[in-house]
Amino acid sequence: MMRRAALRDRFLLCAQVALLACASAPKVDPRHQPAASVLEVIAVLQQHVPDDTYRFPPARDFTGRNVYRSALLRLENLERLHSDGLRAGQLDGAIAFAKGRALERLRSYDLAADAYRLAAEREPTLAEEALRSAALCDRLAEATAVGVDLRSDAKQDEVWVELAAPPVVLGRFDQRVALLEAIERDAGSTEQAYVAQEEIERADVERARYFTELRRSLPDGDVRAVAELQRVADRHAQSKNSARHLLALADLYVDLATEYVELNPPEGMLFDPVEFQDLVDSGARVYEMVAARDGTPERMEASRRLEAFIAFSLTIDRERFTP
Amino acid sequence: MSPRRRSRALRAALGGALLCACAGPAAVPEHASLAPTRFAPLVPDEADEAAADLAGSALVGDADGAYDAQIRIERYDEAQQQSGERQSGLAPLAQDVANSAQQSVRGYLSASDDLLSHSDLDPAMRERLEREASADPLERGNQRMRESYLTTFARAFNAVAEPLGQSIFTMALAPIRLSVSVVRYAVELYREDSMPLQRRQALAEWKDFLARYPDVADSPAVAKQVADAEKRWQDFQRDRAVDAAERAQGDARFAEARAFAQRALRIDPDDAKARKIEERASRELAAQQEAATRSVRFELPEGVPLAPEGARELTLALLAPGGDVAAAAAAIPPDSPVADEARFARASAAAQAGRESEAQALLQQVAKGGGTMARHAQVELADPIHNPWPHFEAARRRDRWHGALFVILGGAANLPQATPDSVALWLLDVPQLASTVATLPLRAIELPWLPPPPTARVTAVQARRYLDLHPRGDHSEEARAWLESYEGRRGDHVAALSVAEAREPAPDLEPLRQEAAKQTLEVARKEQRLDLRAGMLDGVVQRFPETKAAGEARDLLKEEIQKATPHRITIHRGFLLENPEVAGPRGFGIPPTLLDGDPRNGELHPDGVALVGGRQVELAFLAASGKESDPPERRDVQLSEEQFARVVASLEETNFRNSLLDSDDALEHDARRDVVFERARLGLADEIDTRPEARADYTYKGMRERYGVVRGRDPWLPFDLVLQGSLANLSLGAFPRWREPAKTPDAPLFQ
Repeated sequence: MMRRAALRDRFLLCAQVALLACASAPKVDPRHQPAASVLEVIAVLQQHVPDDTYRFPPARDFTGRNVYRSALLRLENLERLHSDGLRAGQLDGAIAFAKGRALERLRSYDLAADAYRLAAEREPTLAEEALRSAALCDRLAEATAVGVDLRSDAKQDEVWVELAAPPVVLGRFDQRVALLEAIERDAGSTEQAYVAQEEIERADVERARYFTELRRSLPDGDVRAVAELQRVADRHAQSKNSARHLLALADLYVDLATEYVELNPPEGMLFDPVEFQDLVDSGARVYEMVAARDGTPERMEASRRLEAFIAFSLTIDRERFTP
Repeated sequence: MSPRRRSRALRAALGGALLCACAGPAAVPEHASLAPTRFAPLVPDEADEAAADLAGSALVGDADGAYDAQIRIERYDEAQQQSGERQSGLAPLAQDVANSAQQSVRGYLSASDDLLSHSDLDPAMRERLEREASADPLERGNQRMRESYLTTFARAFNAVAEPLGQSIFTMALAPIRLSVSVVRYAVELYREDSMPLQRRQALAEWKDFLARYPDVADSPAVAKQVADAEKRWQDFQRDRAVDAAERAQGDARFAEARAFAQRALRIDPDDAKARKIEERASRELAAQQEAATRSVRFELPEGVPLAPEGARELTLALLAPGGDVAAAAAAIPPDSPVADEARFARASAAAQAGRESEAQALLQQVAKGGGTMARHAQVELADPIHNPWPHFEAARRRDRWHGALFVILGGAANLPQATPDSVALWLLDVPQLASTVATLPLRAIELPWLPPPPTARVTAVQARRYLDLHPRGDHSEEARAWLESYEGRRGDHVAALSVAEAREPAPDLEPLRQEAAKQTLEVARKEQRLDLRAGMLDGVVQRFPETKAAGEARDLLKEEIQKATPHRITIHRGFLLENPEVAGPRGFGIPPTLLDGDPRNGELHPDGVALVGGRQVELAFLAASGKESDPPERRDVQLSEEQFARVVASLEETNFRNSLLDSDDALEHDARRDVVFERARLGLADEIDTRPEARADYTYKGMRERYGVVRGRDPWLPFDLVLQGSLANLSLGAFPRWREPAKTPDAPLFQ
């Protein structure tokens, strides 16, 4: 009996060893294999270089990463691993150029300009385009440095932050947009025109944000903030972010309505139903516009926020606010 | 003139006069006037003085003083009764005021309960007291629980009564119908939330009660009920989160699964099922993250050079503007390690040159291969934003499939979710498939006229994405034609027109412009604000000048401009007739002749009177023809400040009292109207708010005008008697259907 049991154990052990010997290392899903050629990275990047990233969201690769960021990461890894091979194969100029293309879409204009200049130096075929792109990137870097940033203007040890007067701020933003519009014109039909449009949009958003954040301190600040956000929504109706601009505008109306109720309780004599209704109608109308946009993630946001806004308005006495 | 001819002429003249009399011409006053009213001051009697003392004592919380004053009023009434004179009628009110002077709210409610036992209460006061009693949170909570039990009972009752009633002529089928109905009831019971709406409402009310009255006699019992219900509510939320996590895990949405599982664990940290899902989802997410990190690395396969033959040339052709990618790609041999990359590059070049079909075919070729480029090609093909056409085609195929399924299977075309309860309910409907198949030809006929299925919204998104990307692409005309038809079928003719205008060659736009103008006019008619309405009407005239709707819009705009007043609060003649206190000397002071039904001495038009801004009142008289259908003759009159305030007060009080006496005549809130009234009471009516959004537009209508001569009443039986027949299975049945309690207005806050 004992022998039979020992035999069985031995047999099981042998079977396990045999199974282990046959088993290979787990195979990696081909979708997640590392990149295997320079051409793979550059072909995928170049597929998306002409994309209008002002109107449409940037493409994503198979890992879900931004395609420009993904290409940049792979090219940098490639450079680290095969720098000698690249030089020998005379691909370092092409790689520098491709990095420039990726970097300009990631808003690193100074790094992009450097990459383009390196490409012009190493690869005569691409030199003309590389130098043109480097010059545009230099101008983009210069233009985007102009403006007002409330957060960086405030130093930690300062109790009071000295802010520029609104006309000065407007002047700076106008200067920035003028520089960017000149770049857009000079870029012609190249993809850098889209980059310039995106920067103009950012400048307009920053300007609106400046007035939104300071609305309680500036004279007629609320009206100005609404006008600025409305301006962004109007000027960039074609942008991929247009729904987001509208959401920002509607959110401001919600904030204004909430603050109005806090300052003027509905049951009191100072509450003006017309003014409150105006804020509610404006906010709800903008949310409805976004909620009607099928196929956008902002649609869900707008629906939920509209629902929340309506729930808030239910707390107001019916004879002061009749939806 | 012969006597015969004279007599004929006389007869003709008499006949003519008679006809004229029958036509009923109405007298229209040259100027309107409303009688200014003055009232002599009243001399207070003993009851009035006691009432004043009562009010004063109640306001300062002097319960004894209030009680004394109440007794004085009761004695006064007794004395009046003994001497055969009119009583003050203040006794019930006095008792209510004295009750309100008590310190405790629950004491007041209890005293009100006693007061409600008096049979001589004014109906309006009885209604007010009953409403106050029913506003007690404990009472409301208990009521919601009763409704919850009643809902459960009604569903069980109907599950049995309905199949039996349907089988009165086919009793042989009764067991089958009853079994099906009971199974359906059981499945629905299983699917029902463990904390249905009314129970959640009850929980909220009980909590409110405890917050208000923590130390009253009922509080300990209510606290126990709250604890039980709260436990049940937490369990329900945990179960719901675990269910959602399981569903997400089943669909491989691991981030969502982990979030739901974590939610369940926050409610119950010991829930084993949630813990297991959370662990598995975390493992899967970590593996995905690791795979994504690995994929950004660069590893050259063994034996493959960094730049195989032709790779440098193709790289440069790709990067240089105007590079000859096709030639460089063609130079790469098919067995090269970068052959797939070359095909992918050719696809990119073709797409950028606008050769969509060629690019698509090349990408599909790469996607089918097993190399590393296949993943990129698959992503490009699957990207609905940058490559919308295949997605449009797939969505359109799905719509057609749904259409075909609908024709064949009718309602059963909507397949159930893969859960046992959904499948069970679907299977219960399968026997009805026979009758559904019989009506197949009807559905086939109606299909072209039906609105697009809900799935077509996705198809429309893809069509719009394609047109945004390729306004002059290979398929742009096909996409526009589909989108135009889609918008037309769902009734958005304005959108259909804007699509059609971009088509090449442009189709005949005339019918579409007519429809679009009609649609815009309908939207304008529904707009509440006068300024916006006028702008929209003008828009119709400007944008579609040649259409029929533009003519209508022009007329409406003219009428709006003629009638434009700062406000328009209209009180219809019907309302004035039913509420003489508003029309009479304590209200408008309208001469009785204008409401006596005799047009010969002047008569108000059904439009009645309107407060049109400031202290101006517009009276609408029957036109000279005497016909109510003819536009009225309008005359303005200005009231004194005092009378205007009295009119407003009379309107509001009448409306309030009516709302207590008649459940069909509930108070309607209107903030703009109420602002006008508030300003009138404060003597500020002449300071008109000129903001367009401040314009009050409201109409008081009579009950007969709203509901007709005979109004439906709430049935006293707790169930409806239903007579039901079906041509599909030639059945006839009758059964009682127990009514479920109606949801309260705050139900959306709990759903």
